[in-house]
Amino acid sequence: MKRNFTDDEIILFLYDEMDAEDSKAFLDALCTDEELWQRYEHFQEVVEELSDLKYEPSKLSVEKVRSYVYNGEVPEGPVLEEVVAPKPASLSTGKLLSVSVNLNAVVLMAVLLFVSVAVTGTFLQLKRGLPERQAATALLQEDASHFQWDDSYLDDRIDRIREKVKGLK
Amino acid sequence: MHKALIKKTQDRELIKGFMAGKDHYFDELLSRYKSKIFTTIYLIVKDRSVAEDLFQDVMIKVVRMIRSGKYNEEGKFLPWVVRIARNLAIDHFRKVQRNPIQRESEDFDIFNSVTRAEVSSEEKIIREENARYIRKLIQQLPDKQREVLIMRSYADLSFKEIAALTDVSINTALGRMRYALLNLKKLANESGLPQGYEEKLHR
Repeated sequence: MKRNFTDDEIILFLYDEMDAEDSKAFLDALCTDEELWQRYEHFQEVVEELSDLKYEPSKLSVEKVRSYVYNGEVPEGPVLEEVVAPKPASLSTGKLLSVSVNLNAVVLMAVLLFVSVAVTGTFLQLKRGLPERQAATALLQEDASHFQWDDSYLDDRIDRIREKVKGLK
Repeated sequence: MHKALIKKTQDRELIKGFMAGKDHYFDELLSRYKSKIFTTIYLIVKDRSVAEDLFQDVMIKVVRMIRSGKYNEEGKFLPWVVRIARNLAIDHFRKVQRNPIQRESEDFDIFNSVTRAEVSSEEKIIREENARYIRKLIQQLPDKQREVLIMRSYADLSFKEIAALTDVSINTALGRMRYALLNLKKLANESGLPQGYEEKLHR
C-alpha cells in the first residue's frame, strides 16, 4: 500500500531524525513517487544551501577564551601573544625526570636480580653435579677392575677415559 | 594524553578531564564547537561585533559552570552551550531594547569571516557571496522560524531538543522549520540569485 509522507517527515529525513524503518519506507517511496521526489528536492536544495554557511569567531575572541581558561582572566584589548597551553603533565620535564629515575631504578633492580639468580643457579648446579661425577668415576673404576683386557688398544682407551675423568674432577 | 587521542575523546571525557584540572582538554572542545557556537550566535544577534562579545561571554560562562560542577553530564555539550548562548542573546536583546544603539551595517567584515576551504579565489568569492546572500535571507525570516532553523541547521539540536528549549511541541517546532525552509525558497525566488549561485545550484 502506498504511504503518503508529509513535508514534516521529509524534513525529519533530511536531518537524519527519521527512524530506520521509516527511512527505508521513505527511500522506497522516493523511487516510485514523483510528487514526493519533487517535494523532497524542493526542501533538499534549501537545506544543502544552509549547510554551506559557516562562520568562525575571530582569533582574538578565541585567544581571550583560552586566556581565561589558562590564566583565569580575560585580557582587556587585543591579545598580543597566543596563549600557549602548558604541556600535558605526562610530558613535563619534571615528570619525565621522575619517570627516567624510576626507570633506572627498575633496570638496576632487574640486573641485580638476574645476577643473583645466575650465581645461585650455577652454585646449585655445581653442588648437584659433584657427587654425580664422583659416583660415575667410582663406577667406571670398579667396572674396569672386574675385567681383564687383552687388547692393548682397549687398555689405552680406558686409560684415556680415566684421564678425562680425572680432568673433570 | 596525546593530541591525536584527545581528538578522538568523547565530549563527556573531555569535560571530566577539564574538571579534573586538565585545562588543555578545553582547547579540544573549543576547537570542536567554536564554529557552530559562533555561527549560531551570529545568526541570532545579526551583528558580528556583538556576536564576538557574546561568544566570549558564553564560553567564559561555560568554563565557570563546568569548573563549579554545574554541568549536567546527562546532557550533550553543544545543546547545553547553545542554551546558554540563547539565554545570553535574549539578555542582550533586553539590554538593547532598554538602551538602543544604532549600529552600522556590517557587510564590511563578512568577506573575512566566512570559512572556506577552496583555494581558487573566484570560487571563494562566489561562495562568500552566497554565504552573505543566505545570511540575509535568514535574517528576513520571522523570529520563531529563524530560531528553529538556526538551532537545527547550525547548533545541531534535534527537533525534540528545540521543542524542549523553546517550550513548544515537536510538531510546532517541525512546522516552524517547514515554514522557514519554504519562506527561504520563496525569498530567494523573489530577490533573485547572487552571482554564481545559479551555476552552483546546477553543478
